[in-house]
Amino acid sequence: MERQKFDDSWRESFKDAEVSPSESLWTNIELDLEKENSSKMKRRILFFQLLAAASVAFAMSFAGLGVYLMLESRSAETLVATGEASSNNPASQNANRENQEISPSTTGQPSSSSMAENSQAAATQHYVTTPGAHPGNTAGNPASTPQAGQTTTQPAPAQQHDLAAAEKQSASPANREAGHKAGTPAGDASTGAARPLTARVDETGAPGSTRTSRVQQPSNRDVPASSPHAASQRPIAANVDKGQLPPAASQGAYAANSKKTQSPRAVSQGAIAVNADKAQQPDAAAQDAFKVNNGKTQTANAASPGAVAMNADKAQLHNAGAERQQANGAVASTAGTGVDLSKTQGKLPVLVNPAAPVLVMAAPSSEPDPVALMLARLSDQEKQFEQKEKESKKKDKGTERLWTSVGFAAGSYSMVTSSAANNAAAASASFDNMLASTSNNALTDDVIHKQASAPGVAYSVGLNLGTRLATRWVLQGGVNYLTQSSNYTTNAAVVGPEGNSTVASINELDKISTSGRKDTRVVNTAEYNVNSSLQYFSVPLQAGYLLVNRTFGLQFNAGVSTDLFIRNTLTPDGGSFQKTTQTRADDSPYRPINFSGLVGTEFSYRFGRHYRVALNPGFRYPFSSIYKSDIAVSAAPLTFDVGLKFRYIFH
Amino acid sequence: MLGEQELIDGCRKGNRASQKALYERYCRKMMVVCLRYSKSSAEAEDILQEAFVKVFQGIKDFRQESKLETWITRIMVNTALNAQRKKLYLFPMVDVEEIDLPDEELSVSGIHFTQLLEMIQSLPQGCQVVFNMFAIEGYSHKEIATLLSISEGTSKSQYARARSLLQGKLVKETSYYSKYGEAKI
Repeated sequence: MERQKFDDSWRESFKDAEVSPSESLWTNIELDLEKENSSKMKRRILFFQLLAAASVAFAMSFAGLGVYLMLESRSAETLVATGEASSNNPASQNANRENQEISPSTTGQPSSSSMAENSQAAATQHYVTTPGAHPGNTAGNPASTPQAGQTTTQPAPAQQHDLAAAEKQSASPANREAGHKAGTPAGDASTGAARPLTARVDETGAPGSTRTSRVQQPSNRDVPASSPHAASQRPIAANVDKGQLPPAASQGAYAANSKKTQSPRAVSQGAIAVNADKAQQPDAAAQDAFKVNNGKTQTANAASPGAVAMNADKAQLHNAGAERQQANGAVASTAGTGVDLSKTQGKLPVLVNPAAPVLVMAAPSSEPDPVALMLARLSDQEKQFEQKEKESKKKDKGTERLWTSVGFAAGSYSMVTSSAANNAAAASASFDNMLASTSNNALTDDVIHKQASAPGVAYSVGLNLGTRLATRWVLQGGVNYLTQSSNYTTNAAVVGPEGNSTVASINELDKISTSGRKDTRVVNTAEYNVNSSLQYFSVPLQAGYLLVNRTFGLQFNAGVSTDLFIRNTLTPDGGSFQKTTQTRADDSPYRPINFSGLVGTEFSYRFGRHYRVALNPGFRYPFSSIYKSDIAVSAAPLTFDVGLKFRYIFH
Repeated sequence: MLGEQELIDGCRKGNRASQKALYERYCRKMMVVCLRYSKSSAEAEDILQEAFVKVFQGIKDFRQESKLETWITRIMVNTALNAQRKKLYLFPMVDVEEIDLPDEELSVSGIHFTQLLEMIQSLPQGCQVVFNMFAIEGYSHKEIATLLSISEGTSKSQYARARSLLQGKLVKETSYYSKYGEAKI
């Protein structure tokens, strides 16, 4: 109980509790729903696609099967016709004679009126019955031979087939016209009657049709030639195209006949029924035929409704055969006269008269398809654009129009000197004074010589700017800071009036000489090292020739550098002597501005669209001495350095 | 304001406006349901989102034999159980020792539901699920055992443990109230 209350209290607490979720939750739910809908649609589309594909496959297989069966049945018919033709020649003569009787007035002219007359005559002839005929004679016994006085209107199967063949040949619009001229439904029937053995083109191409098409020929065998039913059927059928039959008979015959052409290959009773018009039931047709039979014959019992229908069919065949013979110009005469069927004997009717295939080329449309034109233009433009882009990329890759670079170089230099001692012409008064002002000419000379000729190392760092003048010519300039540092040993010092000792240098000696002070002298000391550091601002200007202008570049540079002297610092080792610094002053022995020649190469590599790194080995050589002309010593540092530059390409 | 039947009909047709209206009508209450079964708001929102999608997809099969809210709540609970099932699989529930429960059951009246939610969320996973299903949803232990694939005994013991833990928390809350004289929100 307590527990129940506990649970109930908890349940009550949450009964009306509400907490708002985040605002984006509905959006997420919507997205999920949209995804689900799209996947459902995709599944549905896939289902219908599969269904359509299955339907097409089924229809094609069905059609293929139909064609196969049709072809097979035709080949079977051909074999049967050939076999029958070869085995039943005597019977065929009789059949010919009978046909003659049927169409006594045949003149060989396939005129509709003559055919009609012949049909009538045949009909008249057919009324000769064959008493004692036994229905149910088996097929293959067509020579239930006609007895004397009897006219059998049942041609032998072979002849029937020949008739059928001839019939087909004569299955022409003329026949149809004859039928139409009859002006009755029987007229349509007559069309069918005129062409009972022609190949019946089933609309659906269903196998049943082929089956029905086989019926007709063997049906002739099946039904006894002397069957009263057959006899009775024949006039009915013969009169069908005349429109002379009583309505029931005509209907029955009409039912028995197909609106379409009938194939001579109907073999089964059921198939015969199908020979009737597509819309008709086989039983109805057979029964109609049976009714007609009963109306005409005395006591005959049809073996089956189908057999009766077969009889009707055979009558039509026979009649049609007679007409065909007329059309073919067979000699016809009254009863007893032979009919020349030699032309039709042994020849299979042409089932199909295929027209010669005519290759019909589609006429080229006079007007071009606008959509295709537009697409072609678009694709052309696209190709052109791509081409241009490629070319621009190529150009872009190789061409650098403006760039800046920051570089660092390091190298060594050696002084190319010529002193006053070696060059008498360079001797100057100041130098003489310098020498004269010192008490030790050899010492002074040593100081000058050591300082002026000391080799050293050179460093430079700077910023440059470059531009392209032509395809392969570039111009580069910039500002560099250059320092040249050398070490040498000396054993001289300059002692001033206060007793301070400084490094003996060209600077000091020059001061001494210019000031003429006697209280300052150069003294000999123990050897000590001195570091001399010259500093310049260098403004180079170089022209370059691009030998290779690709991702890897090779360039020859040459130019001039304007070197602005900053200072020279002499720093002695040890603390015994003070260092001296000579700046750019009037009393400086150094030229304030010097010009140097620059020559070098540049090996570069471009990475990326805007960057290039270069290695620049080169030489620098001042055109004149770094010292002023009034300083007797001449020194020009020949510098070899290797620089590394990082270039940024603007465009 | 659309009626419930109109909402249902609209949602069956896939009308987005009807779906949104239905969502807005029930999302707050269902959020509480999801919070009871989860450990955080984010987790609860995930369950809520998934469940509402199921609601909209399955509303065509809603036979209206029960109230719409009840049906939606059931979907929420099932979705929450599915989400928790993975955790329960990793940490299966087992029988717990019998705990002596205090004689007097403490009341939760006067305590805001957000605090009660925190208490429930602080429970161990299995206890939380069983307590929610038994005490609040009203499932029987047998039904709980079937749904969670556990034994009835486990369900009972988990519930008992949950209750004892909650009571312990309630004791603390109650003493706080008595000390400070007001509900802590």
